[in-house]
Amino acid sequence: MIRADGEISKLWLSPSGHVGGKIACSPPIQLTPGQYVLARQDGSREALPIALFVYSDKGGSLQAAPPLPTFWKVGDRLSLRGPCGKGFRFPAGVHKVALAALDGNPYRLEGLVHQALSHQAEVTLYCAFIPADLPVAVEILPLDLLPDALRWADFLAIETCLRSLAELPARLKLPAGQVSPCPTQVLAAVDMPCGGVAECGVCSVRTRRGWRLACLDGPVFDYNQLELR
Amino acid sequence: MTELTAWQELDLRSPWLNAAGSLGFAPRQPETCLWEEPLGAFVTNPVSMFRRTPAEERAVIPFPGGFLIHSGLPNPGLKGLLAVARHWERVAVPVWVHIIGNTPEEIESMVRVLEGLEAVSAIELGIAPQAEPDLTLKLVRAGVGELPLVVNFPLTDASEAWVDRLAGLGASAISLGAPRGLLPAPGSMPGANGKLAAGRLYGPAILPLALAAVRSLRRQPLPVIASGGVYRKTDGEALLAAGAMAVQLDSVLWL
Repeated sequence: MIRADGEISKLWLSPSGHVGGKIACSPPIQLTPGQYVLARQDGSREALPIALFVYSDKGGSLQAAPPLPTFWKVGDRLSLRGPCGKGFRFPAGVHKVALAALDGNPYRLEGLVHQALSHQAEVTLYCAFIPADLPVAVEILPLDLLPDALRWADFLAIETCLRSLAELPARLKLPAGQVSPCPTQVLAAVDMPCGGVAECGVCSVRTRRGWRLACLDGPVFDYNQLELR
Repeated sequence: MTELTAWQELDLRSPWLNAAGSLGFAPRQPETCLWEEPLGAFVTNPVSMFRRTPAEERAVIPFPGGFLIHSGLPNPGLKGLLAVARHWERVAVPVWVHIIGNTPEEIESMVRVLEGLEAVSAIELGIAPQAEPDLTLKLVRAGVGELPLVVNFPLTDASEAWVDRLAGLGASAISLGAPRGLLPAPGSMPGANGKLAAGRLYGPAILPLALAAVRSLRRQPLPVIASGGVYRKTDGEALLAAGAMAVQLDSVLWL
């Protein structure tokens, strides 16, 4: 975990109407997909740091996934702390990867796209919004076809908000309590205001081993470990 | 015999402390914090006699100038806390344990256990917002023991009549905690039928309330530890100038 200085070098609007951005970062912070950095605009009196999910961290610049605060401007300086949390653990020997963004834009999963393609894996993305710069090798499918992925994929990564976690078995057409036949990891999109420093519990997720903090123990969890009630 | 000053009694090393709930049960990586002043003591998250699970409707809701947080104060209970107490020996500052409870018996039991821990230098007793005065005074009486007792309550309760009686009960200091408030719950219907979420309020917008609370407590004899809305050193210095002995920091410590 390190502290770094950031400067916003680019902002862009996603097809879903949210702002993403590129942040020059010194010293560089290395993240795996699903991990996050906490950011606060220098000199601002914003009470809450923002959790930034990054889909690429090449060359000392963080490509920050939407949504970013709409009041941030190009040239703004940021204080950053990271990497925080546990990200996706990409299994070795995977050939068919399915990704699903259940509640909105799929940018937080895009780091996995690049990781999978670099392993010569086939990638299918189930989503409602198509990222503008998605590699052409990625197949796009509607979310209602997601249950099929359990039959053909050998790795499934899902992003969903905390309130929708309980609906996951139904979205996958799996009986509640049944394990997923395909290795499945879930990014629980939840507010993590303290980044694990306070253990405040507001990001708590119920697992089969008891309550876990998304900010420290997640935000990526194994589907089979989640207590989905 | 020389009388101890409040600073000596509480073993404070600087006027800056963390507020309960802002740095966990044992500090993890204080070196990553942007607040550059050294902390004079470490205050644990609130701990109850028995384990508490998170609230079903937990939420963080921003508003202009701050945010509301409702977590249910999940904690491992006193027994679970003792498992992390070994980490306190590595903390370079005094440790204050923040306890919460519903009965004097619970508070007294917790205090007796904590008195046996060498690393603990004070107890901060959390009083619920708008608490019933008789019960509050009984809880305080139960919390008085060998360790200095700091009585913590929402800063909006500073004008309650029972506050003036704390010194006579043996409390060592007062600490002012986050005020409570309501905001529309996330995803709820707007308007009269909408659901409201209750929780603790933090953010720069709280600073004027904190200053007013410190001022209102100037005539009572106990030292006051302020908190609320401190995001710059000048915010904290304003609270000290208004009469606070020390200042507790909250979400400014999260980055």
